[in-house]
Amino acid sequence: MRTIVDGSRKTLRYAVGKADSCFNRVHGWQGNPLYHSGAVAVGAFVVLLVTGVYLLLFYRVGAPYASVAAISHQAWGGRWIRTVHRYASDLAVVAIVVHAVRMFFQGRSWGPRALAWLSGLVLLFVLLVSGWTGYVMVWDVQARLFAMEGARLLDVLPIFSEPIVRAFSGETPMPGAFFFLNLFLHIALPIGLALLLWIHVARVARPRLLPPRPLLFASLGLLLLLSVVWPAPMIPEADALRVPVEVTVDLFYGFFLPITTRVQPGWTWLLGGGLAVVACLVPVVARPRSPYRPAPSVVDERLCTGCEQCYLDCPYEAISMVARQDDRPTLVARVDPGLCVSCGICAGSCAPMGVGPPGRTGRDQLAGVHAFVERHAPRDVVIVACDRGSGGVGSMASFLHAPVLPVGCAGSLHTSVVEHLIRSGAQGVLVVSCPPRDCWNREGAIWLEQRLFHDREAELQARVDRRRVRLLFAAEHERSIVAEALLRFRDDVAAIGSTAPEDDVRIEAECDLEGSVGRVPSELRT
Amino acid sequence: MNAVRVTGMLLALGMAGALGAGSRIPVALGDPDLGQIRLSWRLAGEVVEVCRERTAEELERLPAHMRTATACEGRGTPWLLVVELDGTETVRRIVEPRGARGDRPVAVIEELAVEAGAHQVELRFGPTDPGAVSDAITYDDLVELESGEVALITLDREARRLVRARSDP
Repeated sequence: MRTIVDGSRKTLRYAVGKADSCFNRVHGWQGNPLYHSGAVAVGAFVVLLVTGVYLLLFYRVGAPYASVAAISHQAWGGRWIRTVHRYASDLAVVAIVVHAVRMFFQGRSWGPRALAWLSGLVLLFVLLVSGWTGYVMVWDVQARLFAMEGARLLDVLPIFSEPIVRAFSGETPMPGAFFFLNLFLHIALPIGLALLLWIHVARVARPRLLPPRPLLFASLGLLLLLSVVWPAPMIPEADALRVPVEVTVDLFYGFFLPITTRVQPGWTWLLGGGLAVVACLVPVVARPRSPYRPAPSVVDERLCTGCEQCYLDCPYEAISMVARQDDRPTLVARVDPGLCVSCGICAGSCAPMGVGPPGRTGRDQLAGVHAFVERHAPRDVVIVACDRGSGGVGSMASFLHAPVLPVGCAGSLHTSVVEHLIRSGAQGVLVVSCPPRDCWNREGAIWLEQRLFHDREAELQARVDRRRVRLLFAAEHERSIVAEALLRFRDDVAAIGSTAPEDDVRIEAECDLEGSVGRVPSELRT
Repeated sequence: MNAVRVTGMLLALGMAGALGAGSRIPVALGDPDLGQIRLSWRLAGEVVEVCRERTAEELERLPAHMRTATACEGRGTPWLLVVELDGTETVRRIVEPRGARGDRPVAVIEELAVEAGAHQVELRFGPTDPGAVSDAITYDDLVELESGEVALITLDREARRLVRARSDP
């Protein structure tokens, strides 16, 4: 099972990574819709709500098909509003599926993120059911097909006193109550979606619910353009006394019909139930085996100054500030292991290097950079790269003769590492990170950029020449971008002139003295 | 406008087009030369009760207001559906009354794909329990239908006989 999961993750990562590179090239990473898939889904949901309110004004449960046909004949309003409603619902499904695939192969589906994964699955299911009710409301041949399939599935359950499918046999007219029930569900389920969305983002700080404005407006514009150019068709009205030979179906909501109409409903339940169980088991099977499972962050209370920066930066609200047990007057950070995903961003945000996952704190990073400097004695540009995106450079020992220092997530990089490299003789440090909206830990690239160049707490010290530091965003398959940036950066630092290495750089000791003087116990200042 | 921007716009338009195309996929569901004979009705059925006298001890255990001398347990009787199409038996199945206690009406829904044209349909639907008092209901008629047409045979409740519905209600 785990082999299958790992294999599918690799395959999906490769395929989506290639698509990312393609979109990045033509739209830039800021406008790559694949990076914003979750937010695009929410944007589509908002469009659905707005257009749905308009359609509700004209829909009549007593004459469903006729009222929808009347809406479609409103040349200046209803036709394209109905079409936008339909295309937005399709877009929502596509965006959610892309979002789920991305979360799956990025390993963001287990541990504390399991709640988001499971609530996302429920969101998708409720959206599909809501869309199903919406299509039934039209009562055309597709609607009847949807209704019949739903009835066939429900009739398998031994809870109804009569087969529901008989309601569609043509024996009696379709009751208005049926369309009222559909309408009710079509309104009530989206309210449930809003509640589920709240649960879905409950464990993340600062959730971005809508895509950036350029992407939002571009998506809206495309939906409008498509609606005007290619309006949703009015297919023939449902007729119980005609056998549907060929039906125009919305693939995004009726993808299962070619199969389910040909098998017994019991098989459909089995297949659907099996898929649901597999999807729900993802948080279990996608979890790394215990020896490789990253441990949550820990706080060294002796070093914590109570500055609250880790608490502010944590993308998962896993850190709280609590009263200290000793006599120092400040608060102290406390990590909730049940919420911590071990992203390590707190390690980058802690100036005195007192918090982070075991082995990845600022002090651990400095120990690593000591060894790196001894091994490479860098006199050229050094690349510090996230080992996930970054054109794949993070997994290399060197790239175009520049030694590479890998970090788990660029957002966990402590700026002292950059300072240490430059003071040790590196002529420049090229930090390569995933594009901000594709950070596997949500906000790592954003905080890193602010720490390096905008004096966010745990900032790169003023004594470091910023011309020797460059930050580059590159996706996994964008190695050529890294190569171009490296060559350009080499030229730029060569133009500045060389810098001599310092002897015995010990930033952690300086940090104790500068950042925490008077508060750090004396035994730690050695 | 440079080539990258044009490519970006074309890519966006292509995605929009794919969304529109995916929204209207023709799905073939059946043979266009076939018609369908659909049987659909609901019948109140018949509950056969088995009654016995309660013993004195049983009555003693019951609350005072529930001490009826006779205890009855009823269950709907199963019905047998037999359909012959052009002289060939096509359907023979027992239709159980619905509901957890099996006391709800019996409901029939059966769809038979047939060639367009005329077909002799003989149908018998009757209780299987020898003690049942209800008569079987039958249908024996020539059913003509075109390709794609559904011939719906249903129950005229007032006349308690099976008839062919002529138009979509």
